[in-house]
Amino acid sequence: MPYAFANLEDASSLANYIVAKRKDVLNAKINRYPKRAFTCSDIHECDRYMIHSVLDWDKRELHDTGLQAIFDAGNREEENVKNRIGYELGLEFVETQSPFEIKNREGEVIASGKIDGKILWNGKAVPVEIKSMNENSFNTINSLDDFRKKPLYRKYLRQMQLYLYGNNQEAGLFIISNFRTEKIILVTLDYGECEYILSRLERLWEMKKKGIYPDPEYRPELCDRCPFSSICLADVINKPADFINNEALEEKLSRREELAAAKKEYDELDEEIKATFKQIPHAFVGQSFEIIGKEQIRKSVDTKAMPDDVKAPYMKETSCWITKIKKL
Amino acid sequence: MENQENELIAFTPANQLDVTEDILAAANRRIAQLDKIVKLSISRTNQNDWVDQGGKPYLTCSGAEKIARLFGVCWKDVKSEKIISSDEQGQYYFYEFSGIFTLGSDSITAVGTCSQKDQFFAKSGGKIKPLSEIDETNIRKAAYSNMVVNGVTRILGIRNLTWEEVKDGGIDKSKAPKVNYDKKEQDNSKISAAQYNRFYAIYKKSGKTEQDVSAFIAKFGIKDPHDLLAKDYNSVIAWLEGGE
Repeated sequence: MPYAFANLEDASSLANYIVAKRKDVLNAKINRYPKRAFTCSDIHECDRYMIHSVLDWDKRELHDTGLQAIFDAGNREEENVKNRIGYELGLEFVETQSPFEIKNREGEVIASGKIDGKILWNGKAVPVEIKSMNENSFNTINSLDDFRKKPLYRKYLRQMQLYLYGNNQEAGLFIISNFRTEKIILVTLDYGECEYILSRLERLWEMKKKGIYPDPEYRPELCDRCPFSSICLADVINKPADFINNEALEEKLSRREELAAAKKEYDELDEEIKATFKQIPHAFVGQSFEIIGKEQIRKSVDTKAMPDDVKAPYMKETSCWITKIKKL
Repeated sequence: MENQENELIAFTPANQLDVTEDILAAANRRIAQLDKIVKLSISRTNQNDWVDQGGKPYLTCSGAEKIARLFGVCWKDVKSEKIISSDEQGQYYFYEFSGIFTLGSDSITAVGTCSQKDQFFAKSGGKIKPLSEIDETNIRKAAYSNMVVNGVTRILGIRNLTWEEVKDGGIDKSKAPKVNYDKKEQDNSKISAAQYNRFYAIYKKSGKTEQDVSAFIAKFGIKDPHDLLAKDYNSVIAWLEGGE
């Protein structure tokens, strides 16, 4: 028997139901859990946050349904990745979500964590941490250095280093996914980095035991989204932008804006015309234009194709200033 | 000459007007600078930094923080207090935050509060949630955010903006999130297009005539169902569905 046709009211009430029910489902998953030690996946750059995270776990601001939906998608994607690169390639994931602990010199557990799993390879288990992210973030990460660009990604690095250290492993893999494809990034145990993280954790652990909070220090990139901001109460110090009154300069900026469209048109025409005359050494157009072309051989080094260890000795840091101009 | 033209001259922030100047000229200058402050402030934000609350633009805490960074608004000595109060329905609590907000040499004390009875947290489906279902951290955070928004907007003089002003700054009202409280009973805004469509579908099924509907909605002082207020909507729907 065919189903009855739905009318506008049915469709409208279904839409309302889905929105409300989805929100309820997500809300039901949002929670906070007691913490006795630091969490390896949440080694924050703010010392005060670290103390709050253990001593005030019950006062942590709950995240919203939007973020919960992202967490859910990340968890599902972890399984998808395991399927794509594990089972489809005939590789075996073992010891999934295996816990590990970091102890201090007194043998106290000061941090605990989990790693997504290990892949069996040549009879050995290679630790793997899967991180899913949106397309924009995915495109910005191509090497381990790129993980240093954002506070969140730096947490990933610390998590992996602690895992490698805690399990006496020399190397592991980050598998990052944009929900369709993956990038594989090799991570090696960095003793210097581990030493730094561990000594910091030990210092913070002692403060936690005594109930001492480090002095707050406002850092917008960390504090503005901090779930403890309403109990941390850091003084907020903002340095204002420069407000400049200079008519001549403003006129130049306006003129620059006016010319932008013409420049774009010029560039497009230039490219189109030059493409037309590719491989033509000499030509005239009407009586006004002469066009001359010749082949040139350029030699260059493809630095992108070079292995990182070959590039490393030639790396140097130079400072540059990037100015972006936006019309208000 | 070229270099001279490009000399950067910082303009005096709005709060540091020379008190010895003619008061009228100073006032005019202040108005011009206020316009500039409003425009710059809005340009710093995006639609996610604004919420349409009862038809008025409400700046969120994230938006206030962006604007604060632009103008160098600082705050310090933030204090919080959980206050227990009571009314005819019994005891309840609210959080109160206060802090000193500064801009140049100006400073004000701003306060932010949020109550356990705040509709946004306390009600769901028109019913009051039990205390156990209200997350206290949300109330505390909301009070803190409220203080930040109050402090930043007050010290910059950008309170009570209209959607027209915000739109001039490039923010599209239709793309801003909308806060819909359980407001069927007290909402004086008109029904949405979706509500009208639902009304129309139910009306077509109801067997009632256009005259019947006109006569019924006249009770609410309107002639066109598009002008129905959200608070009266359920009564009309109930009547269409066979109620009195």
